[in-house]
Amino acid sequence: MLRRCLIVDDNERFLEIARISLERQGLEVVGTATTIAEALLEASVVRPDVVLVDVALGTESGFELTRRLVEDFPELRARVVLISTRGEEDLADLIASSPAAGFLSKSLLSAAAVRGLVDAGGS
Amino acid sequence: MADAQFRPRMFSWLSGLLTGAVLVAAVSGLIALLAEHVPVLSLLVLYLLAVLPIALLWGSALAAVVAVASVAAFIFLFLNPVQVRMTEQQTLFPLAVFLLTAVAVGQLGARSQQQARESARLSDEQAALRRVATLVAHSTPALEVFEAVTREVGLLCGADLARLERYEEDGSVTGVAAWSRVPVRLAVGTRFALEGLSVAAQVRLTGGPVRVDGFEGASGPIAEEALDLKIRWSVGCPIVVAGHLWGVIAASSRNDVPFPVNTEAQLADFTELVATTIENAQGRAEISQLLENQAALRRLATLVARNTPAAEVVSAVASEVGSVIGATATVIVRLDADGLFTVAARAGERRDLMGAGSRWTIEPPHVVATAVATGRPALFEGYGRLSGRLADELRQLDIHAALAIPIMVGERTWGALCIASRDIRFPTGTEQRMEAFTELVSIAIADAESAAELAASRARIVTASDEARRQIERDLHDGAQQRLVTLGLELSILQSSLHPSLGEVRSGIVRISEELSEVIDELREMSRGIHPAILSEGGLSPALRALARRSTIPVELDVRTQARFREPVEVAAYYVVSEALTNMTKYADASYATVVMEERYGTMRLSVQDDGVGGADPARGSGLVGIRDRVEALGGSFEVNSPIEEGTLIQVCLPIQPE
Repeated sequence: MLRRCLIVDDNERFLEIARISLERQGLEVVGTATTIAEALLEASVVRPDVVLVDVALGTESGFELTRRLVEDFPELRARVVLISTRGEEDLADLIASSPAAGFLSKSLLSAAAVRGLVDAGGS
Repeated sequence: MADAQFRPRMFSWLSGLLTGAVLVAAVSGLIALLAEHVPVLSLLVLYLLAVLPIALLWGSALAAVVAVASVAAFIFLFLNPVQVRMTEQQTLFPLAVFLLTAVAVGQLGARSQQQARESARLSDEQAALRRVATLVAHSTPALEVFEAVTREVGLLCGADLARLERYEEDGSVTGVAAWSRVPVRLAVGTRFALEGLSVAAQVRLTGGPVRVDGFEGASGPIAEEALDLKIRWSVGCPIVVAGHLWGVIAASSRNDVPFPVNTEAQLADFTELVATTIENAQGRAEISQLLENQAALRRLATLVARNTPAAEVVSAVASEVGSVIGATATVIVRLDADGLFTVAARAGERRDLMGAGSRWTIEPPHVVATAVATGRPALFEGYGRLSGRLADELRQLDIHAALAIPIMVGERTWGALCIASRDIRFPTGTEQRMEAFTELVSIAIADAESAAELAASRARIVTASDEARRQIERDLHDGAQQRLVTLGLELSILQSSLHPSLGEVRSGIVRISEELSEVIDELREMSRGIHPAILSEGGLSPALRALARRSTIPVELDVRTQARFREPVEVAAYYVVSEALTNMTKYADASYATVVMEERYGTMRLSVQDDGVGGADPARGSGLVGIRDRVEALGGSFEVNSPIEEGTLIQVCLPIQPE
């Protein structure tokens, strides 16, 4: 059962709302980060069960962060969920070639959706 | 001199007298034999047999002498001289009649003989003139005509030597053709200074025909040669071409007898033919030079018109100018911003000296610097004040004449075209001929510069607009889209925290959430149309796959490179495929499409092909026009091949590196 979650997004307002939304749905947000460096540090400290990563982190790439997270923390393979306001079809190739569990449109973000993706990716 | 003329005539007279005496004696013998049968006085007429040959061979005067001698011999041998002196009328009258008849016959004979000789000489002269005229009419090469003329003149005048010489600008003469009856080495093609006595010098002095009577005691190279050849008499006539004294034709004889008085007239007839030949040859040379010039200019103009790169045009101009003008070396230099000159093109000999690409400090009095400084053509003024490596290289080329024409591009002096020659001077009109060539260089460079500027400006516009669109997309994504998405999340939080009794509010929130979701989707579509964000995220390959996936018609995508390219190239390629697929969906009625992308020879090649109805025309205002502009702005090429009913093939090449 996934309980501890780390959210990486360069938009503070989104981080705040996402935290409230997910925690109400029973997913504990143990940390947030806005850059790759912050995210890697946070991940090593809080050891999350799942990481939500925005595809576009300002000038940095969420795909890059996904690779490095899985590289540094092998237990996170298929435990990273890419999120974006952009459409999935545009990013499908990049998502498929990344070690992420899957992609979730930000407007459809929910604890259930995250669990669903990770369970599907893990199986 | 008179003595010299007198001696052969004397000898001729003596031999005539002797012959006359022999003939008179022979006729007298004949009369003696016949006198027994015929009255002796009637035989007097036989002496005409002695008078006539003398008249024919020695002329009327000697014939008269022989006639008198005949009468004397007749009286002495067959009549009693005393009786005759007694004036016996019967005898004296026939004697007087014979004498008159003999003198008259002698004169008639001599005259007819002279006329026969004259007519033979005239017909010889006419034949000779005709032969030469035929050569002239057949446009025989001038040198052959000159040789024929000297030979004919030599033979006709009974000369030992005939020469045709041309006056040079420096006051010397060059032997052009020569003929000789005697085996002597004659200098043809060499120059003689006109010092001392010579036919050529005299003709130049008087401007008319001249005679030179012996070279005894004369000095100068020609006189010395004449003395060596034992030339006794010389006669010469000027050759005037287009009002200018061009040369001289001269006949020389080693004979003691001078040339007949009409020799000058004979030579004059030939000089006219020579002048015609020269005029023809010059006309032909001028015409062929003109044609050559025109052909070279036409070739270069074609290059310019075809938008050949300026560097190629500049090299072509250098080599064409070099060969048309016949320069030893041709150089086109460009004046750089730092004040140095770069050799942009180099043609002719020793291309290691002042070679293409080399850079120089060139200052007056060098012609190039003078031409560039004054904006006017400049002529070589010697090496005197030149020093340094440039002067050394020029000295190695052994240049004696140089001419530089400035090359102007707009109001600016771009550089100069310079020709250099080992000859002392260039033919007149060279400067004007070169100017036509420098104009072509100017046009080519101006065209290239404006084309480059235009291309750069188009590329800048495309890049700037892409950058602006990318920024708008980013702003939309980071701003409005993000905020709307966040708002949606907040709404769902609000919804879930509402008390169940507030059903109406809840359904209102649900409705707003759904609306919001639609707005977000619309905004996403819009921002994708503004700029394909996926290009920035993952490059061309995933972006093309996304396009293929979104297409309503099946697309076979063959991406043969995973390389990343500079952004304008990726964006252009993306739009090419995007627009082609959109067009196909709208108009082509196709069942499938193939997209191929590959990298080859520094270019990215894209092709989009469908099996639809064809007939796509980028000129007819479809979205393909915008794509063509975008591709061409990047220096690429865009081709549409769309025959009716045979599908459409769009091929695009994009240079990977900016120009």
